[in-house]
Amino acid sequence: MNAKIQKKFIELYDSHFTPVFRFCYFRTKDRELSKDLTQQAFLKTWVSLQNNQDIENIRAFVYRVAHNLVIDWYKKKKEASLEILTDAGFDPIDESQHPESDASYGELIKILDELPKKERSLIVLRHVDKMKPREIAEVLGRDVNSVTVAIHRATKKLKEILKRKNTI
Amino acid sequence: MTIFKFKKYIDKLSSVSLSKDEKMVLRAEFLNKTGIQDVGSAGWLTQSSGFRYARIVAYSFLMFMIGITPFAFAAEGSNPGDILYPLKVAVNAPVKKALARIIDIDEEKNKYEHKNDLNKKEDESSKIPVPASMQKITKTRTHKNTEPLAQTPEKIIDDIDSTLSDTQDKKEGIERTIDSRLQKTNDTLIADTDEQTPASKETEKKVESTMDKVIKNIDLSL
Repeated sequence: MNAKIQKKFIELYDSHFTPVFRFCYFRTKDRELSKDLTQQAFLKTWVSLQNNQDIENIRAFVYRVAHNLVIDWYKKKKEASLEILTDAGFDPIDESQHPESDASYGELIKILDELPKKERSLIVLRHVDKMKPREIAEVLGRDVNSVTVAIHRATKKLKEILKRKNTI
Repeated sequence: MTIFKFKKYIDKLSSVSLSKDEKMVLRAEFLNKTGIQDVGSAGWLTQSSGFRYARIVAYSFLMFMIGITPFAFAAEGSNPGDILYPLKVAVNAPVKKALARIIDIDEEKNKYEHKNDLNKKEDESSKIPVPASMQKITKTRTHKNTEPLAQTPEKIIDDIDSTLSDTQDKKEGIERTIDSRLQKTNDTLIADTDEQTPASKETEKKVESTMDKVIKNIDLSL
């Protein structure tokens, strides 16, 4: 592979690893799994590049791969809500391992968990990762108009949830 | 209020990230798996390398200087057996030596320059004054002497002769052309006058006849 492409890909890796990780994390609620899925997403993208696959928007492509990996993981494992996981002793944020993490992350995820899965992704992609509706449509494999409407609905719902809660 | 809460919530979601160590481990693993050479390092990696080390060194040196200066001044008046005496020996003495060396070098340099100036002045004063007329002669002589002798006198005379003959030829040529032009203009003028004569003669005759007539009439009337 060309050294210039390698350099560009590493730049993409450095700048987008955390956002893709976040995208996976808010859906899986598992830090280690999200790290693994993100790494896999980048590896698959690299393999696709090596196979000369026509990639129009590489950022959207990585997110799409990550999205598909999360779906595959969901299919393999029965989805469990945060409450069940925490009851089973699972801590989404182990602060002893990650001292920079905020204690309210659990609460943040709980709020996000009140939204349906698809809307969660929309909120993260639109408001956290600052993606355009066109790009989100590309990642989720939907048309732009339906994505725009869905983003609007999800944002409204989240605002209502936040209005009810006093923790934020 | 809801908008504020929403913004705050989104900011908190955005703050979820990986630690530097985690990133480094994952990056190394990725590079190892893909076989990509580490062509460019990420911003979060460069921040933690040489720049930070240099900053720490600079800060620690500054702190050391700030900390030691008052003690160094206090140690200046200490005697053997005092608490600050070792500091005087260890710090003040080497610093003084270094400063003295610098000062010595400067002093020596100044002395040398001063001596040089004095020598120059002495040389100038010891010079025998040359009269103005002599100075002129010497100047012209030297000027003549320094001029390069490009040609021999015979050659120069030949050159002058040839240039004179050339100018003579040129002068003759110019004169010839002037003469010829003058001749031409004279010819054209003569031709013009010749052409005008018959007409003028007629008019003259007419004038004469009228004059005669007038005179005759006058005579008749008288």
